[in-house]
Amino acid sequence: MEWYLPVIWAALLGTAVALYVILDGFDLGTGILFPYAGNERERDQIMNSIAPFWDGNETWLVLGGGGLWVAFPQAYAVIMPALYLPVIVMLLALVFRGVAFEFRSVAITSKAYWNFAFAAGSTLAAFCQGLILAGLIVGIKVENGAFAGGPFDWASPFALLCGLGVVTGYALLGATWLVLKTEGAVTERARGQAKGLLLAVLAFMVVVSIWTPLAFERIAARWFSTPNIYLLWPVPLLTAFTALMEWRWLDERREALPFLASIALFLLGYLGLVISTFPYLVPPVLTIWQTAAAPASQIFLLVGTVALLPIILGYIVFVYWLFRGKVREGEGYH
Amino acid sequence: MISGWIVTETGRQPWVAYGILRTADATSPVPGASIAATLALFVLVYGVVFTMGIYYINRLIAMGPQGRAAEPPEFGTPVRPMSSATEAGREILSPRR
Repeated sequence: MEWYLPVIWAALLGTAVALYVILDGFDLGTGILFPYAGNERERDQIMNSIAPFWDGNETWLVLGGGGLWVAFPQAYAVIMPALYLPVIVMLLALVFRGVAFEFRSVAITSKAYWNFAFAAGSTLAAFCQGLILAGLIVGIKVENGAFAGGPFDWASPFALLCGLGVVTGYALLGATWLVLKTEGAVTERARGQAKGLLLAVLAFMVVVSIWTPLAFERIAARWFSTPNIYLLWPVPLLTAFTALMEWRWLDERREALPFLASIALFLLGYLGLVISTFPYLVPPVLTIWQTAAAPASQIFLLVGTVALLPIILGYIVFVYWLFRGKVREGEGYH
Repeated sequence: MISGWIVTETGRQPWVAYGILRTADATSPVPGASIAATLALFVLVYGVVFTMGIYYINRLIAMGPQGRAAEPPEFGTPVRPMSSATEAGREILSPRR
């Protein structure tokens, strides 16, 4: 069996999930911060800043889920039943926040309900993604290649921590996005929120970085054994440096740099996760090679993906370029 | 269309992939209670979304068309449906005035 095919697919899926987390992260984040907007016009401005992008951002979830299904069917068959409830609740939350865009713009007396649906849907979806993340770090009970646990195996204090961590992290992405894309009162408020959120995100990162090696021997071994520790020490150092620069850039009232720094923080956290779990897709039992589909299936799907992915990336860049610049109060394409 | 779908799905039983995999062997290890709870949630969420959607669509229809129809294009003859899109695209892609 070709050993490299599962590696290519793992890299593709890893990229899709990273793109999802960053892109839908910032638009879910604006939803998490939605209740703190001053008035209805500011809420319009926040929604208009993400209106051309949010549904495209969300489709990376489809490549993540669909890719897992076609390239690593056994991992899909174990992960989905194990995390069934958080996954379904996340999808239903996304239904509410997605439809809120359309209904809010035509609602007259019921606008407040859709404001709530947008904020609550965004927050709940982010929280469920944290639960899913925690479930994958903690590991899944597997017997004879199939999930063998209960429907609430994912529930733990660590899952609560990760849920709140992801909500905070997305809110930071959202706040710095608003700094980049809006003007006026919304920007000023977002700049203040971003500083508090940055501190909170750092606190979550520190707690997770201490908790996981203490609770999981394999993660401690991965980070602190020689020679790994000599190669990996730049990761926490870079994280601290990025956070410091983001704080300074917020102070200097920079527009794009805080958002880019938030993305860098997410990528560093994601890198930490990959270092902790690779090559397991279902830690601590199933690797990417054990769960891979037949090489012929992986090649067949790879051809289509490699042909389509550059086209998709191309039009995403085009859309972001087309809707570049700031959204002022009262502006929007809806 | 939905009737055809129902006929296809029931007609294939007890197979989920005909001759290869039985439906009974294809189920996920998810307890019935989880399935029942999430099915109820799906019905509830879609019930709310569809009810509100139909309500808003009806109200928009009752209000009738608002404002004026689109202006005729300044150049290019609107003989085919895509000509207005071409002009809109030209406007977006041309350098900022």
